[in-house]
Amino acid sequence: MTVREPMPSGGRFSVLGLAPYLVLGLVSLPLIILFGWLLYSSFFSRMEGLTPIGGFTLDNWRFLWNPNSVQQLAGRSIWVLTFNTFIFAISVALLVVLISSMAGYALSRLAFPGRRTFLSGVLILHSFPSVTLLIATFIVLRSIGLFDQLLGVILVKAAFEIPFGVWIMKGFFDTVPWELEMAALVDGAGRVRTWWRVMMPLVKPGILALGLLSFVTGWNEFLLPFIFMPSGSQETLSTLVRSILGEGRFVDYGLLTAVGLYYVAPILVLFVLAQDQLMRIYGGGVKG
Amino acid sequence: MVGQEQAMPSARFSAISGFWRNHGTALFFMLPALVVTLVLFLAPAIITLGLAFTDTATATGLSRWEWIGWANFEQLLRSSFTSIILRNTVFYVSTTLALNIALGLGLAILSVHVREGPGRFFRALWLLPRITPSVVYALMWVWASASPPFGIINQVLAPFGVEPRAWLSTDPWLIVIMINGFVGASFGMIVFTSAIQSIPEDLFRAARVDGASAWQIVRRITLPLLRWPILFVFVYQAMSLLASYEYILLTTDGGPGLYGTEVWSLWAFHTALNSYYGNLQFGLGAAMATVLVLIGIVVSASLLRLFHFGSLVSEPRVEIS
Amino acid sequence: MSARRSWMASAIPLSLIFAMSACSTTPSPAEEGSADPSGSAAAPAPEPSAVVETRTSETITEGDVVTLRAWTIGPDAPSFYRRDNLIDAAAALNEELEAEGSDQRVVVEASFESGGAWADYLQKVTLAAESGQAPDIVLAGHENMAPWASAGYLVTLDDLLAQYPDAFADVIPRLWDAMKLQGVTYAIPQDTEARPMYYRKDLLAELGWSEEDIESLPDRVRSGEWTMQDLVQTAQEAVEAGVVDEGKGWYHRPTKGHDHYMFYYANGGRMQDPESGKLVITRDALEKHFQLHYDAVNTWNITPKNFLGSDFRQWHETVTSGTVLFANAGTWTWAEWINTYEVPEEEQWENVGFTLIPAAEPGGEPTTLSHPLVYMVTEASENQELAFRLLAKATTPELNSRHSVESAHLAVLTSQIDDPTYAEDEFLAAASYMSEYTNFIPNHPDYGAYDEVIFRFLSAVQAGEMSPAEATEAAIQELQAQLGDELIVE
Repeated sequence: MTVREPMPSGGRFSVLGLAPYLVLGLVSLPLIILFGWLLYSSFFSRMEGLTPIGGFTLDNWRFLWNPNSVQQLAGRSIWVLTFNTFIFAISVALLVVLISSMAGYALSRLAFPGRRTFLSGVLILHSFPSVTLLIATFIVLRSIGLFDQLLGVILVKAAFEIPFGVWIMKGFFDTVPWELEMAALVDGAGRVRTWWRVMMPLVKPGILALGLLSFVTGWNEFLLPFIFMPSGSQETLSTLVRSILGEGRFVDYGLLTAVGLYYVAPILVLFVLAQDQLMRIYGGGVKG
Repeated sequence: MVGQEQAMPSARFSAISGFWRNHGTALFFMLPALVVTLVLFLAPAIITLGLAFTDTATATGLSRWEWIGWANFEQLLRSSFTSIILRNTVFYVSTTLALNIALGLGLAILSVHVREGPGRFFRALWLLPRITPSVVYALMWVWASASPPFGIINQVLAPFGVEPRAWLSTDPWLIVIMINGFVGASFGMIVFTSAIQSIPEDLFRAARVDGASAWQIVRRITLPLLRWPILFVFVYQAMSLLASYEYILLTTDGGPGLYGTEVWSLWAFHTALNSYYGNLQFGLGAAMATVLVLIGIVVSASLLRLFHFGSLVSEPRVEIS
Repeated sequence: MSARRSWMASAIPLSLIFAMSACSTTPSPAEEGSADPSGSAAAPAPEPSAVVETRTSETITEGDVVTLRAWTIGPDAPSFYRRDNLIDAAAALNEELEAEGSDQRVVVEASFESGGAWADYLQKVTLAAESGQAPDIVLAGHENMAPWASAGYLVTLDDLLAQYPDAFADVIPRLWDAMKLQGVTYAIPQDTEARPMYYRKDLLAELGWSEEDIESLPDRVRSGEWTMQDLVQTAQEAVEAGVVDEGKGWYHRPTKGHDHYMFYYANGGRMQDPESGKLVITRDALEKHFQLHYDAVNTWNITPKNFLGSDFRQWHETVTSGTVLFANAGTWTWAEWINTYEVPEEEQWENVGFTLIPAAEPGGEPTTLSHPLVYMVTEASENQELAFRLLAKATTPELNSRHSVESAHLAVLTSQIDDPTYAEDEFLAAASYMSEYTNFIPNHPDYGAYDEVIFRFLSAVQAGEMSPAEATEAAIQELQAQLGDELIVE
């Protein structure tokens, strides 16, 4: 089992020298300016375009050390909100990964009736804009008694992600040569044991990618907890961003940029750390 | 690389004696996904289809609604907005898609061909629009495109003789397409980058030995081998764009003028979920969603055809009873 | 072939990953300034208030204790008395119950939501009502009664009002119009506001107006002597004389909202038929309304091009920079300019004046528009009468005035005008007369659809995409297509 190395770079296009850098830089310029400006403006109270009004200030970042000064925090610590958001996102990610890799394994390895229907069915479900399903989802949640329950919100969020998780994991299981699995099965291990002990470690890149992306969608989720768990929905970072945004007219823009940056930072770090892995999965994971 | 056809033919392996046991195992593995998908995805989808034939709204609640047959669809046919918004949708999806793919492809090719460090930097940079909270990302553009003295687009372009303006009002599509195109570019970028990296290095080496220029290599080797990923991204992104509305909502909200940038999914959202007078027209919104789903099914049908769906869902090769 | 296959095997899953993350982003219905149903101020709250902060009145151990739950919202933070007034009313109600010899005592558990999006709050109330978790009392905009009462979530209050005739005798009579759906009362007013026309005194002086002319403007508007035609002419003069830049003669609301209907009302438009409760569109008034907005941009250059849909924050920054001659906004805006945009209060008094919206033409009536927020009692409440009586105790000159002053809202009780807290607020005292000239948006379940159509055609007219006559016809046609029998065209 070898993992394909990222393509050695450098030398290949040395002829062109700086040209690709120039083009890349130029195309990326809008993003560099926009995000650079976002970071820059979080250190000033007001901006007129690129020109700060007033002097350098850390005031926009005060939510980190002085929660009482930020009305929308209502005296709670930013760390508590961060922790809650983390818990929600990690629950969604774990659930999606577990359920998807179980189903993905069966879809990849077992023949059973309804298999094709399931695979094509979930693709069609994708064309429903998820937001139009909210009212129907409410009807269902109410009837099974999970309205206003954290479990209900996590399940709904996971349900929206699982069809795709299943497809992804099926794809990864497909790339695992059957000989590896067969050896285990011949040794007398059951299907479940083989799945857990042999197969799961082999599709780690898939688990990582799916887990990461489910985590991100959970991290950014606003509407589902807000609508489906009215009693405790105020406890996440997404609600904090939303409450600072408010109705547009009362926006403390400096605070919004700082909180927005804080909110996106963990995700960005995750992506940077995982980029190699994300790019590498492509080569087919395991060679047989 | 392992082709699937190398694997063993399967169906015969599952002898009749093992049929039930096998299905028991399959059921065990499928059960959680089945339950969650059926209860929280399929059931709501079916209920939504049903709602399309009712007058359900906040004003009827969930107990006072009535079946009204095709009335919602008839209203859509009658409305003078329908044609405007359909036109917008086609325009928005096609142009944004073109930008997505051009950007994704360009970024993938270039970022693979530069040194690893900068390549990673640029890829991370282009992931930013996708992972930034949509509210913050959209507002950033709103501020950037504002009229003087606020917007940075005007400030940056002023030296090039571009007349300052309120971009979201004067050129709404330009901004809307850029916003969405930049978010979508990362999708193509990652897929294409991975695809390029999976092209056997020998092919490039041989071409270089033959004295091919960089452009020739891209043109003759990379692009032809990217045909499938490009098609895939094309169709799949088309579906995602059909259902996407939130950046438009946060920037132009469908304006300026008479639905200048309103697209179908945004219209469904405005109708079914966002009314600050509090009467949400779930029935009509569900009818709109149904129309969108029909379009989506046509698009996904072409996706499945293009990608030989049959071979992707073919019976599993590893089957031991 | 083999290479392609194995490519596909991993391409599909990987692409799906990213497609998934592309498609599951959260919708964010909060548009710029889209929801100011309350019309509210931005004064900083004296103490940090929660996003949703729930408070409970004093614990009671004796007697038959009933807990009343209430949900309220700002979304502006300074409106927290919407919650606190209910909590403080508990003591008064308990005293009264004790005096009656009743065993019952109430504990009030009320929440106040600040910052959040209005549409989401409404959604939450609706879903709570559907799942049997609605609180006893809900605060929302008066027009929300239309869908909620139709759906059976609300209690009619007429019997209770008859049973306790003194409880709300003091409410400004005109407000009751907005509390009814087809003649039935469903709500109690909590606060109200008005939407004046602000003008720059310094710019008018620059234009050669005498101080007397400037100071008497509100009275001349009130008497109907100075009309919208004069406003347009003055704005044009100011542009021509270079006192203001082109497009800065008159700023109206830059986004969707109730404010636009003031100009429709001023032209004699009607929105609802009091008899049948149906929505009304007055063809002639609609065309005049469109014509005014068309000309302001395309003929007179007193309002900027591409105005509708622009940013509210920048609107305020431009207006507070003192370069716009006329700007119509809310009474709450006065405080917002001082607090959020840091205009010194004295300077604002010196340079900015406010009047009613002038009559459309000589012989017409000046006007304004209010959007009262209201308390409603839910059908699900097991203690409807107690909830109603709690509202009575929360509606007093003292409690309402402290709310008015804290959040810059106008009085809902006639006795508030004499309340010392209220009278001390110079601006509120000076703007109170506007309530006499006010109009409301209709209480009708289809008002949202109606407003959407009118607003989109107004945008088309201002953008110069359609002539006012074309837009009027097209709007009426679309309204008829969408509303059918629920619309009267006159």
